[in-house]
Amino acid sequence: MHPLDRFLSAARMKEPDEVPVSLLTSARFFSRLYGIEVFKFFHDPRMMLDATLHTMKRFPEIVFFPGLWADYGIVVEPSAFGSRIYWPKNYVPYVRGELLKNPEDIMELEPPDPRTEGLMPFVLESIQFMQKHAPKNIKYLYAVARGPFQVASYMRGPAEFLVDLRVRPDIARKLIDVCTETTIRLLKVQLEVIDDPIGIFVPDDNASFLSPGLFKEFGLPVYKRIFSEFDGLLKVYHNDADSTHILDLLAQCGFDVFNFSPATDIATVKRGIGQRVCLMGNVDPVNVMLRGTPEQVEEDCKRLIRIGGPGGGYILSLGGGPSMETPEENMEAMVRAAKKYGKYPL
Amino acid sequence: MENIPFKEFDKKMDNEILKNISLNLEALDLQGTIEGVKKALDERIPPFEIVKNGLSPGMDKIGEKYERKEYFLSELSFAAHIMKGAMEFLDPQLKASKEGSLGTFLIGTVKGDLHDIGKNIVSMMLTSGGFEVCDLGIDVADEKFLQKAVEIKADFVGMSSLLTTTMPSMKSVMELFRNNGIREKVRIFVGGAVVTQSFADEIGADYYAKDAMECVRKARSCIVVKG
Repeated sequence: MHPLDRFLSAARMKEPDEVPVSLLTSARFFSRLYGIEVFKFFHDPRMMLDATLHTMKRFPEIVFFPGLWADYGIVVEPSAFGSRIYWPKNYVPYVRGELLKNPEDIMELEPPDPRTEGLMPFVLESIQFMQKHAPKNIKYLYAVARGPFQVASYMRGPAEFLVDLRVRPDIARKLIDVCTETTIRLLKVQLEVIDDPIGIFVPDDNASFLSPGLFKEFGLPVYKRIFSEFDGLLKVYHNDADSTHILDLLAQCGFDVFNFSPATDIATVKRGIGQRVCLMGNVDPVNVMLRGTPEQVEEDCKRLIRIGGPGGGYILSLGGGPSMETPEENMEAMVRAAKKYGKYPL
Repeated sequence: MENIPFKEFDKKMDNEILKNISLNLEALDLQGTIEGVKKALDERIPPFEIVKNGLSPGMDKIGEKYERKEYFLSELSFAAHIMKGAMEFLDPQLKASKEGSLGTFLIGTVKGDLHDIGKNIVSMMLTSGGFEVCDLGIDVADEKFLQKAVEIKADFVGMSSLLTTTMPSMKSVMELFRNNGIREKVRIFVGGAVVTQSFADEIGADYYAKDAMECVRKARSCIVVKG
C-alpha cells in the first residue's frame, strides 16, 4: 500500500497492510533538516513548501500530517483578534501578553473575518501558492484551525480563562463561542481554496485543563458543533495534554482520529475511545524520540503497536510534533519498527 | 463561661475557625474561605497562623486531590484565585513580619521561554505552603536570576523550561551562580515539561520536581529557617 492509503485506511478504523507511521508537520524540524532558520520557514511560502518537500522526500515511508500546511504556528487565530505576536529567529512564534486583560472586553468581542484579518489571509494565500507549485502527486489535503480552548487561553491567559469558567461563566461562554465561530470560519475559508480537501485538523491542548464537569458543560457542546459542521471529511483532533479524565467525553465529540501524548496511557485509550476513533500516537517526543537511542525508539514502538495495533484503527506517531533536534536515525527506527512488528494480521 | 479559662476557649475556637477555612478552601468555596479569613482576623488570630493552619492545609488537600486526579488544572487555577483573594487581606500584615516563613523562593521561566501556567501554579503552591515567593515571570535572563537571588538573599531558586531549546539556560544560570560564589548558598530546583531527573542530575541541580506538589514537598524537606 502507498503510505498515505495506509494512513487513510487506519484513519477509517480499518486494518491496512501494516501499521502506518505518521508525524506532525513541524516548522522546527523541517527547517533544521532543510538548513534554514525557522523564521525563514514562516517568512516565505516557497521556503515552507521546499522545506516540507525536502523532508517528505527524505522520509518517504512517513506520512507527514497534515502534509502540506500553510503553517504560522499557534499565532494565526490570536493575530486576527489583535494579539501581540513575538517572532524568535529560530523558533516558532508566540503570543506575548494577554489581549483580554479586562474580562468586560470579552462581551464586545466579535469573530474576525478570516479573509482579511491578522495572519489568516496569509494562510489562504500560502495554501494557494503551495497548491500551485507542489509536484502533481503531492496534494494540499487538510484545513487546519486551533480549537476554542487554545485560542481563548492565549487571549485571556490560561489561568484567568480557567478561573472565568467558575467566576464569570457567562463571559467565559461568550469567549468560547467567539473562538468556536472563529475555528469554524477559518476551516471553511480554507476548504474553499483547497482544490481537493479530504479533512480538517483541530489541535486544542488546553481543553484537557478542564475537569470532566467543566468539559461536559463548556467543551462537549462546542466540539460537537465544530465537528458536525464538516461531515464527509476526515476529522483529526490533537490534544497532547493528559486527557485521561475526559476520554469518555472526547469519544462523543465526533472526530475520527485522536492524536494524543504519552501523558495519556495508550492501553486506557485503546479500551475506551479507541473502539470508536482511530488512535494516533503516542511515542514520547522528548524522552524517547529526541533523547533515546534508535533501539529504545524501536522498543517503544513495538510496545505501542502491540497495544494500539490490534483490530486496526491505529497510526504509529508521536504525542506531539517532533522536536527540532530529533535524530534522523530515530525517525528511521520508527519506520523499521512498523515494518517489523506492525504487519497485519498482527 | 466565666469558669473556663479564656485562653483555652479561645484556642478551641481558633482551631474551629482555621479548620473551616481549610475545609472551605478544599471545597473551592470562594466566599466561605474569604469570610473565614475575615472572621479569623476579627478574632485576632495572627495572619501567619491563618496561612499555616487554615489556608495551607486546605491547599495541601487540593494538591492531594490533584494527584489523585479528583481535581484538575481548572481546580488548581481556581484555588489560586481564592488564595489570592484571601492573601489580599493577609498580605499587609504578613509583610510587616516574616514570622512563619519557611524561606525565600525565587522562581522564573528561563530565557527565551514564554510558558507560565505551570510556573504560576508552583508559585501559588509555594506561597500557600509557607514560602515567601519572588516570581520573576517568563523569559528571565540568566543575570536577572543572579541579581535577584543576591538582592533578596534567596534560599531557593526554581527554574522552569518547557522547550528543549531553552533547557541549556538552566545550566548557564547554575554556572553563573557558581562563578559568583553563591551556588552553595541556594537550593536549585528545576522543572517543566521537557525536564527530567536525569537532566537535573546532569546539570547538577539540587532537585527536580515533576509538578507543584512535588516542588513544595521537596522544598519543605530541606527547609532553611530564616534567621
